[in-house]
Amino acid sequence: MSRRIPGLRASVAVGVAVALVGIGSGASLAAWTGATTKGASITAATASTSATGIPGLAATYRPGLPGVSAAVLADTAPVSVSNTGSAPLSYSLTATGGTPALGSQITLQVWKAGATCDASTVVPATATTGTLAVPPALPADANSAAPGAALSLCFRTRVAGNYAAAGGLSTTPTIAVVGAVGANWTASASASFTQTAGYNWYQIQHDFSAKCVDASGGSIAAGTNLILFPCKPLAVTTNQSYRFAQVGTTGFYRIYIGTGTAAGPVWEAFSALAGSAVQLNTVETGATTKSNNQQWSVVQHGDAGDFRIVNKNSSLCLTMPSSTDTTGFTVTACGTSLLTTNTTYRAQHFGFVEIPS
Amino acid sequence: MAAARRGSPVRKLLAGSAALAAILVVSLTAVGGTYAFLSSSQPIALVSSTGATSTTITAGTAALAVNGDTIAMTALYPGVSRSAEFVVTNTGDTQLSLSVDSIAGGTAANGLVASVAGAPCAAGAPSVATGPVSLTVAAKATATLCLTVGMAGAAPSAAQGLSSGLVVAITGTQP
Repeated sequence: MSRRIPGLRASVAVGVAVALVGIGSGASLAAWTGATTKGASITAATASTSATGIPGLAATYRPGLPGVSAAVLADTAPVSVSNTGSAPLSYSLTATGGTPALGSQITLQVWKAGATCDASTVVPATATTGTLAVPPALPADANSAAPGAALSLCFRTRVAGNYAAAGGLSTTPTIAVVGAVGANWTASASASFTQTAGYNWYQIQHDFSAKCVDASGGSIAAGTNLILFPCKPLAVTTNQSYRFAQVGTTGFYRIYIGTGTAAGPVWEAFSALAGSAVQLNTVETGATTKSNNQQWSVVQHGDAGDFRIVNKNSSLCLTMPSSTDTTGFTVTACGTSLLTTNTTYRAQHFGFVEIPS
Repeated sequence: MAAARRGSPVRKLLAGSAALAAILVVSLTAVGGTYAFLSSSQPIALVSSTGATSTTITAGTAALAVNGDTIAMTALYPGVSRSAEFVVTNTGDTQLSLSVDSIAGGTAANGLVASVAGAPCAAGAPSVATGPVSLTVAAKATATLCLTVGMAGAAPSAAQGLSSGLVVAITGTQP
């Protein structure tokens, strides 16, 4: 005979009820969801730039000769850079090509242009400085532009008058204005121009005779004496054309002739003795007597346009006491008279006629 | 004495029922709000001419919709981001918590990176490319979200001028 467990039936009934409720509530655990989408159309900007004015940096420098010809050793040009894209750009300069031997000696300064940008414009403290070979960074107040905006820059190139070893060279760099945003977006505008370290060439005329300093026999070889001879048509290729190369920053010059090279020949007083002949010789550098015999100063003296040419080593003046052709030049003690009728004055004064380039 | 040791049947029944009731309470507490929603009731008071009673119980819905046209952003460039707000409407019958399922369209080629946050659009506000946006919208109500699209600093040059479409997939889940 089975025994009934008291309360079992009631407990089972409650349990079933619980289970049913649990099942019902379990169904509601499935969370309800709704979904949707939103579209967006994104258009990227572009990087684009333009520049004008860079070709304005084309220049031919000339060292000039104090009292005779003005030096042309700087060039100033306005450069305008426009951001023609739709992204803001940070700008820099690059240089490619060109002749490093000269480009590295030409200083390039860049500043934000003010009211003027010409030879008379004073370079502001904010200007940046580099060279044509390695351009500077753009100044902080002019190195970025918003879309549609423009930068007005002023570029100035400058070279020392002595040119070091770069005299006569030309360089044609391509200067690029590069705008960048992000790591990979760039836009550039570039232009090329040529700068030349040129010379002033002169015929040297003896005031009294109106004849020219001439290398004897039409030669420009070392050892050739300088003589007096009727002036030839102006041309840098003759044996009567001379250029003055400043020695460092001194007031002395080496006087080169015609189609010679940087190695000469140049004028040289044979010695420091009065009456020494003046001839052509290969350039001698260093602190030597020979080097000093090859260095001359050009001193305005007496009437306007009258100059004396004084040797560094001897302090003697170039002298031509005659007006007879082929008479040789010498160095003698510089006269003191300012009278143009004085014999010594007549012998030691010269004028310069610049030869057109 | 034996009856005293085993307890009375009434006491056993009460004990068993109390235990099961406790389980029931725990179970219902766990399902919480969802239970509350489904347990909403409607009086059954319709009596037909034949005397039969009837009623119709319609289940609720969960649905979302977005308002407005496609968002347009222009002139994005490396390192910059732009933001735009858009409205999501809960067209269903239940409160929904919003989350971002995905944002499609950003690639290495276009350099675009996008995220969504609750409005208003503000620099530095926490945003997500996927996941909850910590925003709950009541039934029949709206919520405003902020879509921010940026371009990576290393975006390729070829990305310049590209037009790209982004699709933001948003899900609302019953809390």
